[in-house]
Amino acid sequence: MIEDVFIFDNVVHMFNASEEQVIGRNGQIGQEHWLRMNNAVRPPGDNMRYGGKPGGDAFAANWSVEKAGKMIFEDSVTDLAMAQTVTLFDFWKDGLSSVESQYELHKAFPQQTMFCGGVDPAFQGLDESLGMMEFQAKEWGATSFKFYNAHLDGKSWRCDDREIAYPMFRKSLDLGVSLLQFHKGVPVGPANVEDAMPNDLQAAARDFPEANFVIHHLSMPYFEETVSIAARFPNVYLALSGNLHMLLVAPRSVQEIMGRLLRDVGAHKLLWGSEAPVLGCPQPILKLFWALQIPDDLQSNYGYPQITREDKAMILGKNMARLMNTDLEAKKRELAIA
Amino acid sequence: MSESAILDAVGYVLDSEIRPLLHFHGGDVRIAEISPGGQVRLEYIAACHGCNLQVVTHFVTVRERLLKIQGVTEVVTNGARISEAAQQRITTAYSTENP
Repeated sequence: MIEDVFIFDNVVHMFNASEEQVIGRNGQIGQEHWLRMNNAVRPPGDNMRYGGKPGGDAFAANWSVEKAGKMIFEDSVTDLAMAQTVTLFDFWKDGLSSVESQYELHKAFPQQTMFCGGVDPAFQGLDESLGMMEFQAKEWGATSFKFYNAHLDGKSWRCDDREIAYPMFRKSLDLGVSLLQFHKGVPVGPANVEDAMPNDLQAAARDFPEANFVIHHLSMPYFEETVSIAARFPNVYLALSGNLHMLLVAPRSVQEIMGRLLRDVGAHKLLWGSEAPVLGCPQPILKLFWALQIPDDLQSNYGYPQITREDKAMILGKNMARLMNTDLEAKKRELAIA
Repeated sequence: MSESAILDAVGYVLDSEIRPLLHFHGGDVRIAEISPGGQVRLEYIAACHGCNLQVVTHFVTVRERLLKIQGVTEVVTNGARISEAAQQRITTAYSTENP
């Protein structure tokens, strides 16, 4: 917690980015891009702090649950986190963040980690994907599903595809899982950026009003589209997964983005996401966000409201708790942090 | 003034003075909450939801009217907030004393 504010991290990923995971030339380009992108916004010193050697990269590796758990739950004030599967089978043999490794983190820290499953019909087929969703929810207790629809070689699929996407959304709801999450924007390596536009979530959000849709990464560079969609659809939320790490590099851009989101979308729609461990220990980012202010010139010239303590409490935990039906007071007692 | 009395009065003003204006362009508003202290929390729906001009509607058309009701201490809206500087600019621009 920060003071009495509960920290519920929407997204952490166990991951395996070791060299033997990488698939071919595109995989190598994807791996290098992914590592470079993450290195650019990671707190300085985390490479050495978490086992890197001079000239080496602690993050181009297969992370253990012990090391990830230490970073997330011991070295930061994170109270609860959701471990999300990644299905990027274009670049990494196990998709980068396998279903199994997310479940391992959940098993290792059952009180502090929720398990988010994931499937991809482009690689696993629709029938197999539906079966795996059932297994992940019924046997491993998946409380959410994560989807990656932008791929290479014509394998991209759309989230408003009634034959591919909708059966998975219906399956999720049938399993009692209403939180559907989507990597949008921020393509990895040589993937087509336009395949990761958030626009295809509009029909999905309209057609599945009983589901809640989470767009990750603000779909950068499709920020305008993302704001428009989140502002209009009551069941679309935005995970600031990795976006707040820009406080280390370009704080002004975060002030502008957050001001815009507070003005046009609302703090009740925003979710903190650390992307730990790959983006490093969440603690420095949490401290910077807790101190964040919207400067006077942005308030005056753009009408952006000042960010309040209550806004930060919603973003850091209350919103995610509401989506997951988590009683925060009961959870505090369970974790003995009340 | 009791919360139920405030609710009735706010509902009457919304129905008689505000909703007809909002319906003109497909918009609408609902009362999300009235606090014991008289704070009215609204939620814009239909075409108003997510509209860029929602804040102008709020500060010029809605908030000013509702604040005239006895017992209403503040009127806020879910999902759309602007800075105090922008609020001041809007209310000044649309003030009847500033034609």
